[in-house]
Amino acid sequence: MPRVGVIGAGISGLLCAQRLASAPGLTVTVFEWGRGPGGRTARRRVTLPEHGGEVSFDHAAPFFTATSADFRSVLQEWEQAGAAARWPLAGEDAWVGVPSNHAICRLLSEQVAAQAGSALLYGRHVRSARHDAASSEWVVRATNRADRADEEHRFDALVFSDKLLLLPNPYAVLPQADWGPLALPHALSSAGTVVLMLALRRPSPPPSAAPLAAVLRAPALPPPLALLVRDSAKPGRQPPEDVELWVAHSSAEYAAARPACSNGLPSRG
Amino acid sequence: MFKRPSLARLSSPKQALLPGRGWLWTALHALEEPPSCVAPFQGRCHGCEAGSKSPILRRFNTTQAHLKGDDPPDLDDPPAVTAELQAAALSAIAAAAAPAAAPAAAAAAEAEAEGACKEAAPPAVLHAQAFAWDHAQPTAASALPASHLLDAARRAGVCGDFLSGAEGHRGVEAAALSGLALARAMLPLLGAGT
Repeated sequence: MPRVGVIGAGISGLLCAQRLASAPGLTVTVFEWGRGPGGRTARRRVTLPEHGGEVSFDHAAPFFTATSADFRSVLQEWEQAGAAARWPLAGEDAWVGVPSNHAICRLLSEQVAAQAGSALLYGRHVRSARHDAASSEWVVRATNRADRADEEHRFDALVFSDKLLLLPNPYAVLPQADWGPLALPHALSSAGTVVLMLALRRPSPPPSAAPLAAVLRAPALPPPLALLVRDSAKPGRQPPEDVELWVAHSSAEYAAARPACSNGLPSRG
Repeated sequence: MFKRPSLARLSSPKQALLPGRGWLWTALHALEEPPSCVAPFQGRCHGCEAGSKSPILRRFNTTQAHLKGDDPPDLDDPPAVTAELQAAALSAIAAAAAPAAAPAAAAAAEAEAEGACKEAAPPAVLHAQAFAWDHAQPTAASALPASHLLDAARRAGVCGDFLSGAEGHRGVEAAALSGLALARAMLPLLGAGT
């Protein structure tokens, strides 16, 4: 039975893993650095002491826009599973995960784990991937970050779902000499953003009759903001009644001028 | 309307190393006066009561990302960045809540002059936190026209949002379509068909 390894539990890695794991006769093992699935659908939970409760922000992708039939059909799958809903306030083809965007990665990871022989391994720092030509196997070495134990796994096929796994950087697992057809241009670059999570208490509704906007974009925003989203206006969210949750993204220029303080490593994307 | 608070004094953030938890940023952030009306700071407020006229001290704690694992990283100066983004967001939210700009501004100025803020019912800040997301989007110039990369001989592939396909999809859609395309391409190599 062919064994497939997938490195990275963001949307691309998990959806690939889910499709492979649901094919009869395949087993899939997903490796993820974090303690749970995440990527663009990660959320952050925050405790508000005055309300004695926890609220959750979609701090990465605020919503998803479908422009293709393929993605619409995937979104409808997620909707039928109760993990996604349309968000008309953000646009005709805008969608969000429910009760948070995180629900989508959770759904996909559960679907993978439900297949016999397939599993998700969290908290794994994958250190190297090497193709053994003699056995036609991929040898993946990882460290379990919880107990520092080193592991070796062998697969018949391997998926790299993050460019940082290849491009020269401290997280690379496949050296450039071994790229072969998996060559990526070195100039592949990302734009960063600075994200603000803001919880507000609004004792009474706004005096204006007009409903409060849900999505504001530059140039209708003061600098350095590029995007401002009323997180608590999304379907399925249930923050305390008088609490509004907002997520703001800065412009890429603002983020570029304020690099993350770091120990020389790129931050996890 | 919204008045940007003046930053009277901003102490340099201090770092402390907590065993097993990485660096903890601690900073005291002093505002000359409470930003009246719109943002009476509440929440983790030290040395003051919301709405008081004395300098407001707020403490910002964030833990550094890489050492803890999956939390986003700190910025080089989180308190200043948080304050700047919060001020911009509050002004945008206030403007959005009062779209009829001219009359509302006049009324607000009048109300402020009388020291009455009641009608505006401004929101109180319960929580504000900023962090860097360094790889938010592939730059447009570096998005690749392929949907995935495949090495059929070694049975390996690459997917991700930077493989945005001929149509130049973005974000979650690009990531999802790339993962789908790679799965479809790999299934025949694994004898599983499509």
